[in-house]
Amino acid sequence: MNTLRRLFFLAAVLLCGPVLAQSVVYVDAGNCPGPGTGAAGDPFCTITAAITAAATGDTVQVLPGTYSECVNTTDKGLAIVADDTNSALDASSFIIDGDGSCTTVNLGGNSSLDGFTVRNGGDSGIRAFGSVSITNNIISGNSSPEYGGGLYIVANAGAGYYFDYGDVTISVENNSIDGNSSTADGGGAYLYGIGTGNSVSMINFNANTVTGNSLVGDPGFISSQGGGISAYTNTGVGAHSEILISQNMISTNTADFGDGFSTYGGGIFANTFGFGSELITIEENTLSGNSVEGFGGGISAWAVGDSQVNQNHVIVVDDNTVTGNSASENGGGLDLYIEATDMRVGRNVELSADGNIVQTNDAVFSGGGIVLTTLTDDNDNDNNPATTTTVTVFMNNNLVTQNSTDGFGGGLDLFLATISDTESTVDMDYNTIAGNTAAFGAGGVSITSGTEADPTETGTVTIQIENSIIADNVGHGIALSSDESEGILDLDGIEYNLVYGHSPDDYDTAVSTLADIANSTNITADPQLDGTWGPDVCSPAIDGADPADDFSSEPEPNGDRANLGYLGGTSEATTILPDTNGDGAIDGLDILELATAFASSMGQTRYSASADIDLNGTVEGSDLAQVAARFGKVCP
Amino acid sequence: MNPRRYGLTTLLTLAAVLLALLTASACGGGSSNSGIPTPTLAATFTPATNNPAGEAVFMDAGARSGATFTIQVKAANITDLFGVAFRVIYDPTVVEYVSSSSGSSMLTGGGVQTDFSTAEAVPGTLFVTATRIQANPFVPGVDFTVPGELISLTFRATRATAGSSFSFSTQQVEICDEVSETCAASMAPLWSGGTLTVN
Repeated sequence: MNTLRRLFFLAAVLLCGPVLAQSVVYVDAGNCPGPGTGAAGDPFCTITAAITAAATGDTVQVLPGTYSECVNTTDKGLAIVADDTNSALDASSFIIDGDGSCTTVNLGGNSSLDGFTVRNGGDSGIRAFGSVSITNNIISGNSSPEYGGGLYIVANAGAGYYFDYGDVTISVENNSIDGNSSTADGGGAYLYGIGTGNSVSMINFNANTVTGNSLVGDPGFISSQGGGISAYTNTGVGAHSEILISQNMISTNTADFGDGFSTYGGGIFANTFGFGSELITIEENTLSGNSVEGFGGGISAWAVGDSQVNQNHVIVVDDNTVTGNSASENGGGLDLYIEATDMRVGRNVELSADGNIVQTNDAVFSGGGIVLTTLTDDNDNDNNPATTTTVTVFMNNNLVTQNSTDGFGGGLDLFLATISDTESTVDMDYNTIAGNTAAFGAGGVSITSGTEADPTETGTVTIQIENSIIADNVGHGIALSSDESEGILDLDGIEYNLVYGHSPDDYDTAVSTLADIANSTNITADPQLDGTWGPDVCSPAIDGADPADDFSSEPEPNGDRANLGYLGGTSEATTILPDTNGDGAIDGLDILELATAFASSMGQTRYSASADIDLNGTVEGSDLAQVAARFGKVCP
Repeated sequence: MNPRRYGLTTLLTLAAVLLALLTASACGGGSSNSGIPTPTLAATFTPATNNPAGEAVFMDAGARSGATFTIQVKAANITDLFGVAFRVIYDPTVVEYVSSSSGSSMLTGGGVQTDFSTAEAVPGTLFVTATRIQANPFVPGVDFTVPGELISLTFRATRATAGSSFSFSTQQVEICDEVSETCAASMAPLWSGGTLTVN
């Protein structure tokens, strides 16, 4: 080892010194009545005793058993871990049992809980405030008289609300959260990201199973949302808060405010409503069989910006699978809500919902699959474009099928309201809305809009529905729910869609008039959808998108133009017919062209560009495989 | 059955009935479960030619068994034959396609990669390919100086017919010359089908 390396080594040892000083304190219920010393050979009898004896940064290692106590790490920053000596044991062998009234486990800042069953909490199963990690636990059979039956998580960044934890990161991963109940937000889990100053708070809620939790609302509380999970961000000016809810299985949760009040989010409720920078991302979750007495059987997501400070609020709902959920009012699968008031320069509110699969959900009033509500209010009545409030909602590449409602909007119900000189835009590209059912109006997409009566103000709503397949819904394909919508709606953005198979009409009269459907680029033809609701290779939806759109993500051969529908423009898009000679059939002639050009590259005499199906410059097995896969296919 | 409880006459009668039933099932006779006789079909494929004089791709009769019969698609008098593509046109109300075989194809051998593909695109039209696959170094074609098999196609007759034609369409022969290391479609050879009779 040379001198320099020795110096680095010495420095590393010195820096790591405090880590080496940390110790492990042992707990074993089998050593009761104890009290024990906490050593491996003489463990404490209770977790509480271990916490009392432990120093900041220590690990409390708990042996199998049932610990009937209410645990509180205080602010010591401890790791409470289930002993992993016996790999055959799981969290069900390490039980922390509350007394039915306390919080079973209170985690202070810089603490963690790993590998336990947490049950019988009467004031939530687990409460956490600072940076904590909650992993691999079973959180079951807890209740709360207020928020968060299973988990009550507050990412409290900066000074103020509870303590000053500085920047805060909370991780909740790989837990099973089932059979918990609350009377306010979050039957299963309540996630609250707050912050002051320039602080940053993060909550990562990933890969958990959230099942069979219930919110049975008490009208005494003003907020009762989220049967499975309730997530809020509420920051002060200058602070930043993020909540990520990803890759969770969320099923059979229920939310009911009671007394006839509307509740939101049978599976998940999310809301940004503070003054700073806030982001809630809900992605790649599976939600099924959740129900709500109100809006959003699967997810209810609210992006709200309503102050004159420099807000930036974003909600992203992407790539979720939402099936078999129900709402007693609107939005069987998804309830999406964006509210923007007085959004001047420097302020931003965004809501996007892309790549979701929304199927077999049900709503009683409207929006069997999805209800989207926008509310914009300039709040100044000055009719001044310089201070116009503008918001855009993006909904792209969603698959919305087999949903139903007793009202209107079997697939989607768009409810769009503007007050004073505001502008809201709904941009829907590359969606497939098929096989949905509505008792009234549109089985596919229902549009309702409204504005205040003041003629001096000029609020507008622009609907862009492009590159989508709207097919075989029961009811109209696209319809306005009432004639009141005329006058403020701009429907010229209904372009390059395939709308087909509706009764009585693909478009109701008002839509046909406002959007000039007869002279547009929309087509009416059987989309020939396959078992995944993607277009067959012979479908008119292939290469049917706006020619100006980017097609580069579609696999070759893509015809240099994107397809319609939820897979359009993506790497999963249906390729065009690999037809080397352009005769509309994949037969032996195509194989022969490939066979003779096989193993050749661009520039060689034998190379054939038409045989190079994926256009990568070489005729090879992948090209032959594409042709072989379609052999015998004939597109009329 | 206890013989001491039922007399010898009863046992003999029962044995005779069982014997009669066994004999009937063993001897066949085309009897269906409902008792209605099912006609046994015998299919015979007759090629238009099985010894063409010039360059030809033709159908020849292969094995047959009852309603099932095989058509051997062969080539003759073609040099450097690399592959063929064609469609077989037949009456789908008379026959149904069963399977293909490349086991005896002269295109195989020598360790070269091949492709034998068949697909009934629509009833009565079978897409067929039988070809070698090019590689580096160059893969030559095969000399069919005498009739040799390209691919065999097996069909099953579904009803009697006095004469139902089998023909080629959308056909092509590919020739790959070993000397020039180039491939090209052949000048049209004779493409010859045949007729199916089903009794």
